[in-house]
Amino acid sequence: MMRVGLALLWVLAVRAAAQAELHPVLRACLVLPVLSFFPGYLLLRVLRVRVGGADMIPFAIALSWAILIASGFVLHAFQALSEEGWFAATGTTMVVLAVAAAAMPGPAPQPPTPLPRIDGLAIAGLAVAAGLAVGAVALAVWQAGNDRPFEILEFWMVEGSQPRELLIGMRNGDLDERHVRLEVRGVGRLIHSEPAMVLEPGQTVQRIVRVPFRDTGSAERISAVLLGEGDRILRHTHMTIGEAREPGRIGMEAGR
Amino acid sequence: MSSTAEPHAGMTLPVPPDARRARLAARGWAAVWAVIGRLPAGAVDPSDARIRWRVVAGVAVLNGVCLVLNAVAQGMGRAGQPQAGALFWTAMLVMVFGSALAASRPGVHRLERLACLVVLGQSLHLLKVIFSPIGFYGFDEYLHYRTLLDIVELQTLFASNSLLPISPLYPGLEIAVAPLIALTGLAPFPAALLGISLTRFVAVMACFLMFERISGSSRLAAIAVLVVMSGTSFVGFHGQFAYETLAFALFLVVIGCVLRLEQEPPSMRWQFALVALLLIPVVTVTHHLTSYLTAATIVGVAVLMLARPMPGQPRALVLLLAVVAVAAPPLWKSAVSAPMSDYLGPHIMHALSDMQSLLLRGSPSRTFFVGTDGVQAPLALRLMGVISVVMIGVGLFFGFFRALTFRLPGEREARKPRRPWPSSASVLLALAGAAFPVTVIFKMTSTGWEVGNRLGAFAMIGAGFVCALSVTHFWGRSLRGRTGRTALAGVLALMIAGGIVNGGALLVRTSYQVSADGQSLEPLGIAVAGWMRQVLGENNRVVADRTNSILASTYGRQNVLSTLNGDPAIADLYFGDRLGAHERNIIAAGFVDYILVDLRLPMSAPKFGHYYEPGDLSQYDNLPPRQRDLAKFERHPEIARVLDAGPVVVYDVRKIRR
Repeated sequence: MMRVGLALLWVLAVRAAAQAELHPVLRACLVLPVLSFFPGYLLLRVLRVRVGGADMIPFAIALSWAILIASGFVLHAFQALSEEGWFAATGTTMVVLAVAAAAMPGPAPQPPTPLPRIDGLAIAGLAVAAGLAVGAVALAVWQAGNDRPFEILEFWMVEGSQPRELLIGMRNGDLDERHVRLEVRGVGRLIHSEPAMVLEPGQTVQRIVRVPFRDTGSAERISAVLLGEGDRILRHTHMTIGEAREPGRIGMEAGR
Repeated sequence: MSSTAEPHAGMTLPVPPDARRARLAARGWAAVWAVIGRLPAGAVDPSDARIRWRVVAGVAVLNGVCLVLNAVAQGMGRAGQPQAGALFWTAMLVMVFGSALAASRPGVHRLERLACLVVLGQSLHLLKVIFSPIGFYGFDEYLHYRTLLDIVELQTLFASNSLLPISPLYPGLEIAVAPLIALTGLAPFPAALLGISLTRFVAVMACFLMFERISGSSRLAAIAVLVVMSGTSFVGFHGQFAYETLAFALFLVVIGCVLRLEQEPPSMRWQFALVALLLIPVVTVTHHLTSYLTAATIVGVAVLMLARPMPGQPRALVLLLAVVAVAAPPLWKSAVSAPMSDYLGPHIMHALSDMQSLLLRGSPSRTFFVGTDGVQAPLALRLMGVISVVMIGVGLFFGFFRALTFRLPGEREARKPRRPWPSSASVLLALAGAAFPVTVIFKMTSTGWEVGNRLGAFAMIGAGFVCALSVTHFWGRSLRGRTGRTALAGVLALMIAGGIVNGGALLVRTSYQVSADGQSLEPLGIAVAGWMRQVLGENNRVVADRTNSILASTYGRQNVLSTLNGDPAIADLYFGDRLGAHERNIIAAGFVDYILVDLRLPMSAPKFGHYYEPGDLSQYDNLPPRQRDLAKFERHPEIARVLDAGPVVVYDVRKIRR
C-alpha cells in the first residue's frame, strides 16, 4: 500500500507543480520519472519479470514509452490530448499499476540488486561534470544567439481589414537600435510619410495606412519604402490595389 | 620386447600420399582456423572487480571539459577561425579515447563499463546539441518537429504534414514527447532534446545488456557497444529528432528480449516474451522500416531455432513473437492507409539499380569525402573515415567464424555436443554483421547511400559483436597489457571519429552556408518564418527552398508544397528569368499563396544536394539560380512584394493563380 500512496503523492505533486507554475526545468525533474520510468517499472513488477538493478532501467523506460504511446492513442480517441488529458492518463496509469503491483500474489520475483555505494568525491566529480556539460551548452546557446550573419530588419505591407487599407509594419530583430523613416508612395503621389524614428532592438511598429481614391479609378501600384540614415533605401515592398477584389483575404485560406 | 611384438615395431611405416595430403590439409586448416575461428579458453574477462565510481566521475569530468572545448571550437568555427577544426577533433578524440579506455580495459566491474558508455553516449548527444543549440540540426528533424507541433497545438494525431505525409501516420516519437511539453511547460525544442537524450540512454544500455547476455562478458559487450557507436548513424542519424531514433532504441530492447530467451530458464521465458510482445506494436506505430527489420530479425531467430535440432529451445514463444512482428506492420499500414510503396519503394528500387550498375561498371557513382558544393574533407578526416571502415572489415574477418561457433564460457561441458551451432543469438549477430559490407557498397552509390545508411545502423549491431569477439578472442592477450589496451582505446576512438566523418553529421560549425540544413539555420530565417505565422496566418500554401521550407512549416506553420504530398514540382518557378505560362501553371496547380525567395542561394552550390527539390541542380547544369531569375517576381504587376527582410523576400501570388 505504501507504493500506491507514493504513486498517488507523486502524481499530486506533478499537478501542484503545474498549478504553482514552477519553472519548467523543476517540473521536468518531477514529471520525467512519472512519464518515463515508474509506469514501466511497475509494469515489470506486475509481469513478474526477473530483472533487477541497472538491467531493469531500459526495460522500465521502454515499457513506460509503450504506456505513454498507448495513452496517446486513447486520448486522441476521446479528443483529450490536452494537459488535463495527459495528467489524467498518467495519473490513472500510475495508480492502477501501483495497485496491481501491490496486489500481485507471492513475493517479488527478485529483490532489486542494490547499486554499489558511491563516495563523496565521485559525487562531486559527477556534479562538476554535469556543470561543465551545462556550461558547454550555455556557451553554445550564447554563441548561436550572437551569430547573426545577416541583419534582421523586416518590413512588410499587406492588405488591411478594410478596402484600400494597408497594414505596414517593421521589426528590428538586431541587437542595436536603428534610425528609420517610412514613406508610402502611389503612382506620382506621396500617400504617407513619417518623420525619422528610432527602432529599438526587438521593437515592432505597425501602421494602418488608408490609400485615398484616385480620379482615374484604375489600379495603382503602391510602394512602401523604409529609409535609413541619409535616406538610403533599406527595405521596400509594393502591391497593386484598386481593382475589384475581395478585401481582407489575408490568412483566409487557413485549413485548406 | 615381447616375442609377440609386431614384426615392424619401432620402424616408421611410409605414409601413403593421400594420408599425407590429408594430414597437411588438416594442419593447414588448423592453422587457418586458429586465425579465423579458434575460441581460446579464458578469453572472456572475469568480472569480479569492484566498481570504482571515481573512475566514472573522472571520465565524466574529462568529457565535460572536452564538451566545453567543443563549444569553444564551434564558436571559433562560426567566427571563421581556421584552428577550430583542430580543437574540435582533438577534444572529440580525447573525449572518446578516455571513455573507451575506461570501458574496454580488462578487470573492470560491469557497471563501471556501462556507466562510462552511458556518459560517452550522452556526451556524443551533447556534441550535437552544441553544434546546433537554438534549433534542430537536420532536415528530417524539422519534418517530425512539425508533427510534434501539430499534436501539441492542435491536440490531435494524424494532422496533415505536407513535407513528410507519412510522419503523422507513425507518431510514436511525437506522442512520447508531447506529454513532456504538456505537463512541464517546456518548449518543444528542449523537450524533444530531452526525449532524444533518453532514447540514447536506452539504446546504449540495451545494446550493452544484450551483448553481455549473449557473450557472458562485460568487456566484450563494452567493446561491441563502442564499435556500434562507430557506425555512421549513431551520432547523427540516430541522434536526431526523428521516428527511427526511438524505434531503434525500442528495436534493441525487443531484440534483446528475444535473443535472451534461449538462455533464460523456461519458467522465466514468457515474461520476457511478454515484454517483447508489448513493445513490438510500439515499434510498429513508431517507424515503418524498423518494424519490418524487427520482424525480419525475429523471423531469423525463429528459423535458426527451428533448424537447430536441440530440445529445450523456446521455439513456440519465438514463433509467436515472429507472427506478431510480421502481422503488425501491414495491419498498422492498412489501419492508417500509409502510402508505404510510394514512399519506400522508389528509394529501394533506385538503390538496387544503382548498386547493380556499380557492380557491373566497377566504379562508384558517388565521390567520397566531397560535398555537393565541391569542398573536400581534410586529409586527416578522410583517413579517420577510411580507418573506421577498414577496422570494422578487419574485425569482421577475424570474428565472423568465431561468432558462428561462439559458446558461453563453461557451456561446452554442461551441454550435449553434436549441435550445428552453439548459440542462435550469436549466429544471428554474425549474419547481421556480414551484411555490413553490403551496406558499404550501397553507400558507394549516389542514390543507394540512404538505404545503406539506414540498414548500416542495424548491420552495425552484428558487426559490433563480431568485431568485439575478434578483439577478445583473437588479439586477446596482446591487447590486455597497458600498451595493448591503450592502442585498443585509440583505435576505437579513431573508429568513432571516423564514423562521424563518414556519417557527415557533425563537423565544425561555420557561419551561414547555402542549403546546409543546420548550417543554414540562422536567426533571420527563423524570424521570417515567425513573421509568416504572425502576419499572414497559418496554413497558407507556400513555396520555398529546402531550408526555408522547413522553417516555414514549423516556426511559420504554413503548408509548404512538396512533391511527396502530390504537389507539383516547384524548382522551375525559381530557375529561368521569366514568369511564363509554365510557371503560372505551377502556381495555379499548386494553389500557391506565397512564394518565398531567398536571395542568398546564388552565393554558392548547395551543401546538401539541391536548392529546392531533389534533382534541381543537375536539371539546370549544376548552376545556381541567377539573381535576375529570382528577381522576375518583381516585374509582374499582380504580384505583391509583401515582405522585405533583406536577403529573404516574400511575394503574394494569389492574384495570378486564378
